[in-house]
Amino acid sequence: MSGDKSVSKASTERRLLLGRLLRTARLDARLTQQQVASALDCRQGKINKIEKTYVAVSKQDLDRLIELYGIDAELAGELRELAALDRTDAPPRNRGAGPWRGFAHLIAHEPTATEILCWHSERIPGPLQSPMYMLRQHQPQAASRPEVTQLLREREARAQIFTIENPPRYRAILSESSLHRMPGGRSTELVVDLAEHLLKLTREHHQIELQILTFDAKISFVDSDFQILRFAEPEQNFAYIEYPAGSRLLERDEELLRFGEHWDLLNEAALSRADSTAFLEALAKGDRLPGVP
Amino acid sequence: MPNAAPSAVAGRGVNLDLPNVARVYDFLLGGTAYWSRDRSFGLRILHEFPEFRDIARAHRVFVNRVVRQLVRLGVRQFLDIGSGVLSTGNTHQIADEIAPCRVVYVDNEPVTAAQTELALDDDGDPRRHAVVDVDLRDPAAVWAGALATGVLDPQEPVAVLMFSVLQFFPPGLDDEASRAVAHYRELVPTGSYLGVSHVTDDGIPDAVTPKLAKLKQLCESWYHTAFHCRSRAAIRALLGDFELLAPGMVWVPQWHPEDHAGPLEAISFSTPNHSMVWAGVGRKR
Repeated sequence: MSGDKSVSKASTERRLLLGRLLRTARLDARLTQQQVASALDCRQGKINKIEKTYVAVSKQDLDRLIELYGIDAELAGELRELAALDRTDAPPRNRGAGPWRGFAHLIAHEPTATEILCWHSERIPGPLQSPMYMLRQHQPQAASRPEVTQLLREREARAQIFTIENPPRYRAILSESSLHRMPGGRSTELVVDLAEHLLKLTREHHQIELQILTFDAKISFVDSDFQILRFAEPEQNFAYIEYPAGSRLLERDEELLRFGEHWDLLNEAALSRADSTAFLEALAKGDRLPGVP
Repeated sequence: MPNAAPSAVAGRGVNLDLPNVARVYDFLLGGTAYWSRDRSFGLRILHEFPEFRDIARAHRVFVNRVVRQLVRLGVRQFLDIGSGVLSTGNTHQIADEIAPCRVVYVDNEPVTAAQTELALDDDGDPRRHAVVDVDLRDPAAVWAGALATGVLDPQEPVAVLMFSVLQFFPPGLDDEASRAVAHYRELVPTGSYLGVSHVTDDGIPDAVTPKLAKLKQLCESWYHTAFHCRSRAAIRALLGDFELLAPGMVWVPQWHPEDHAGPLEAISFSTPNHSMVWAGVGRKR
C-alpha cells in the first residue's frame, strides 16, 4: 500500500483542473470523446482517462487537442503549464497497471473529496487507525526504525485528510465487530487504544462522523466493506472496494446509486453519533470486554 | 528511572506488547506521544508511587536547565543519548530558544526512534536535527552514526547528555555502562561537556525506599526490564576527570534552581533527596 506524505491537495487539484478544462473545451467544441479519439487515432477510453486524470496527457496529444478544440492562446498556455507541472510535481499516477491501482486512486483523491461515506465491518480504515493498530497490522514488516518510520509517515499522510483546509466530510459506519477484530488478536489494551483514538479524532475534527452498527442493529443483512467518495464535480464520484486480489473502483451512476442506498440503510440501523460516542467511551473504559485478556 | 532508556533492550526489535518506558515518561510529563498501554503502566506506577510524576517532571526541568546553561556557555551541538520520544521541552526546542543549535538524538528502540523522526518532520530542521538508532553501549557506532547525519561537527565541542539512561545497565567494577561513558569522554573534543543523571538509593529518604523497591518490581513485571541504582560516588565517577560545573554533583532540583524558563513548572520537594536522582555536568579539559 502506498501513502506518500507528499500527496498534496494542491497538486491533486491542479491535475483535476487540467482534466476539467480539457473536458470543458471538448464540450465547447461540441465533440464527443469518440470523435476526438478518431481524430487522434486512439481509443475513446484514452480520452476519457485523460479527462478523468487517470493518465497523463503527453505534450503531443495536448498540442493536438488544443488545435482540435480551437483553444485560444491564453488557455492553451495555461493547459501546457498545468500539464508540465503535473509531469514534474504531482501525486503518483493512480491508474497504471496492477491490482492496487484503485487503492492509489483512493489515496490520491481522498483529500479533494467533499464527502466520504464508508462502511467497515471487520477492519478499521487507514485514516482512522491508531499508530498501535497500524503497527500491529504490519508487525512482521515493522522490524526496524526505517520501516516503522515509513509506516508511521504513511499513516500520518492518510490522516492528513482530517487536517487539510476544507477537509472532506468523513462519515464512517463501523461494525461493532471492527472494534473487536484486532490485528494479531484481541486484547483489552488494543481495543481501548483504538476506542480512545477514535474518540480523540471525533473530538478534534468535527467533520468526522462515526456511527457504530451494533450486533443488535435491526438490519436484515450487511454487505462487505466499501467507501463512496463524492466530489464537487459529480463525474469524479466513485466507490471503492477491496478484496484479497486487489481493489476496484466503481463509477457508473447506477452502481453509485446502489452503494449509496446500502450506506443509507446502514446509517439508519446504526447508533446515532451521540450514542456511538457513548458506546466508544464505554469501550475505552474497558467495559464490554468480558473475558478479554 | 524517570527518563526513557529503551536502549537497554538492544536487539529486542519492535515489541508492541509491552509498555514503552519512553512513552510512559511522556505520559508522566503530560505529553501526547503515549499510547493507552503506556498510560496504564504510568497509572499503575502512580497508584503505588504518587510522587513519581513529580520526580519525572523535576528531572525534565533539570534537563531543560542543563541545556539552557550549556547553550549560554557557548555549546551549539548536542548528542542526546537515550532521548526517548519527543515530549514536553525537548533538547532542540529548549536550545533553540537561546541560539540555533544542532542536536542528534540517540535511541535504540525502533518505534521510539521512528516517533522522534516523525516529530522532527513537523518540528525540526533536517540540517540541524537528526535521530540515530544505535545501542549506546557501542560508543564508536553511536559517534560514527551521529557524525554520518552531517549534523555534528567533530572538531567543535559537543554536549553529550546521558540523562536517566545508564540505570538500565547493571553497575559493577568496570561495568559496560561505565566503559561506554569513558569511551564517550575520549571521543569528544576538548571543551566538550558530559551531563549525567542517575537514579539512586544513596541518600534518599527512608520513606521513599519501599516505593523505590515497588517501582523496580513494577518495571520488572510490566516491562521485563530491571533498572539499577548507583551510589553517588559511582555516578560521580561516570564524569571521570571532567571538570564539574557548579553546583557539582547534586540532587536534580538543586542544579541551578534559579533558572525557571522552561515549559514545565519547577517542582518543590520537602527535601531535594525526594527526587531520587543525582546529577552533574562536567567539562573536558
